[in-house]
Amino acid sequence: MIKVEGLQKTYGKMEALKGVSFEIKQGSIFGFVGPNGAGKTTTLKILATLMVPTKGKAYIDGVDVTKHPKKVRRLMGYMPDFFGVYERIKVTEYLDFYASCYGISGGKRKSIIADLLELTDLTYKADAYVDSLSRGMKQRLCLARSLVHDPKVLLLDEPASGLDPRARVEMRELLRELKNMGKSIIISSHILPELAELCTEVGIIEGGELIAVGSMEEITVQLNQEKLLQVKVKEKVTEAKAMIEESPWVAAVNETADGVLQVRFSGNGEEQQKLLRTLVLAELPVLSFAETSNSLEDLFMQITKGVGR
Amino acid sequence: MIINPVLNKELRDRVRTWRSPLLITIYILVLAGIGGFVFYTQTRYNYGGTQALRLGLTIFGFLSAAQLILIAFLTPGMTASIISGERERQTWPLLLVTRLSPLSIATGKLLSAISYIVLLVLVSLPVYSTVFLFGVVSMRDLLLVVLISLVTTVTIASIGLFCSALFKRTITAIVISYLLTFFLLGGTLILAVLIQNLNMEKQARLNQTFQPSTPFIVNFNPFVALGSALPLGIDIVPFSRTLNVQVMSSSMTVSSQGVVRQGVVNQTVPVSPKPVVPRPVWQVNLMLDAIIVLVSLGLTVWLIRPLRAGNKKGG
Repeated sequence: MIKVEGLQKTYGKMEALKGVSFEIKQGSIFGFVGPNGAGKTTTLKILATLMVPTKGKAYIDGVDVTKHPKKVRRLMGYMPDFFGVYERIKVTEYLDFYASCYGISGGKRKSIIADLLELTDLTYKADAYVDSLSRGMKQRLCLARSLVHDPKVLLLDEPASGLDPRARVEMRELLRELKNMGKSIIISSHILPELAELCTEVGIIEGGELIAVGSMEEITVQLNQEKLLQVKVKEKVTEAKAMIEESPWVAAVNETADGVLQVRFSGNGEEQQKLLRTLVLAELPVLSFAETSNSLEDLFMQITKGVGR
Repeated sequence: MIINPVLNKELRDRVRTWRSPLLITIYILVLAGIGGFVFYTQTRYNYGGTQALRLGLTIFGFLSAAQLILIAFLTPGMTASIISGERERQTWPLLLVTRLSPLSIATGKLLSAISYIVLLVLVSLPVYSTVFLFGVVSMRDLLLVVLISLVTTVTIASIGLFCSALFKRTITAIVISYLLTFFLLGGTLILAVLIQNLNMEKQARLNQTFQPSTPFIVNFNPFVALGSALPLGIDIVPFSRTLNVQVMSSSMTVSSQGVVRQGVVNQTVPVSPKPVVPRPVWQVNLMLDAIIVLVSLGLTVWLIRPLRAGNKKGG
């Protein structure tokens, strides 16, 4: 659905993007992670047809964003990191204005606006002036605005920044709902736990370079990271520990005070399954066998070097 | 017909506040006040004879000039903030990612500002109509003044819009568009006087016969255009008698002076040899204004194209 090939952007001598490439499938949520000034907003602006890349190509649904910006604008909805609202305009008028800017006829606009207000839980604010809304409501309204023309792709630049915890949870639920509707979404954020819960794929960018792309699991493997498995047996802890240590994928096993075995495991899912089967066939009373994955925050800290700090 | 969405929003926005009726009221009061003041000064000591005949024309002339000054004061303030204001308010990228073309955005913004001034000109017509009580002023004169006022509005508005697209900060855009407007209204006159004096000095130095010529720059001036259209324009605005006469003299084309209105200004300046299509200033001014509007609008559209190379930094 979205394809970016060797995207470069320079401002004088400064290189904002140094050949960024990635691909996003339909219906997935792609988390774009990186420190401030890493190139997230520049990439999103290029995809949103607001900026021309110095080099490289970007496509949305197969349409080149620089060659056919008008077509691309029909396909995508964009929510910038900072945005303002007009004064003296009501919520419905605000959405009606943008719907008319997308060429949607008057009859259709009414039903679309009603649906969007319901989706973003703003129906009760339909007649309120936009500038009187809270930050969270404005964010939801801006999201509704980006959906007026029913785009296939959503480009969301820091959609949850400045929101309180409740508003953040509401925004997350809203994005899940949109994913279920089949939208492909790119979210740039530096609030990592939020992305980890939501995204099917993650791209980590730093200093204009994409340093890791894929699902959390794939990134872990790409970085040759070890998973942390937690194994709890009812009894025979020493036997279980010895048997686990025999596996070629296990780097170390530690026993905690409450008898839980913490296993540093470098194998994939299949090898993990084999280890569990071995324990069960050996009739060891396994109570739990779970993976404690690395958090996105851990991965981010391990991968990035803190460029520009 | 689908109305331009930007125009639709801006119009609603403009009439929603108390500022709009207040401005209309002040505008009419100022115009009526000027008309009343002229009437008072003209009839203070005596009233009758030829003076009575000229009174309607004098009031009409002063009202028209006052209207042009009011337009020159109001229009830059209304237009110079419309794009830079969107940028400062951070609503600009949201507008650019819609299907609206830069031309639609620019014309929508321009028309909304102009339509408000048109409203001001229209509501001022009852004030103007009082001059018909004195006779002499014809409907043609009134329509001509309205036309010049409106075209001047469009010109100043398009300059303001261009400044708004060119400068990121609203305050800079407003200051520059006021400076350009004042140059158009006053600067061109000062320059014309300077050029004329230099020409006269040059002719005197070379012991040439004095040939009155008016610099072409006066044709840019809306006041001179207005003066050339008003029955008693000569009393209010300098250079109003100027006629742009294409004089075919071997390979040369120069401007010269001629008659403005027969019957009102009983003076003829012979033009030779063989003048072709004499045009009063207001006609040339309207053509020049059309060029200014087209150039300003074209540059504005070019400046606001979202994919213009070298656009500003992202994060």
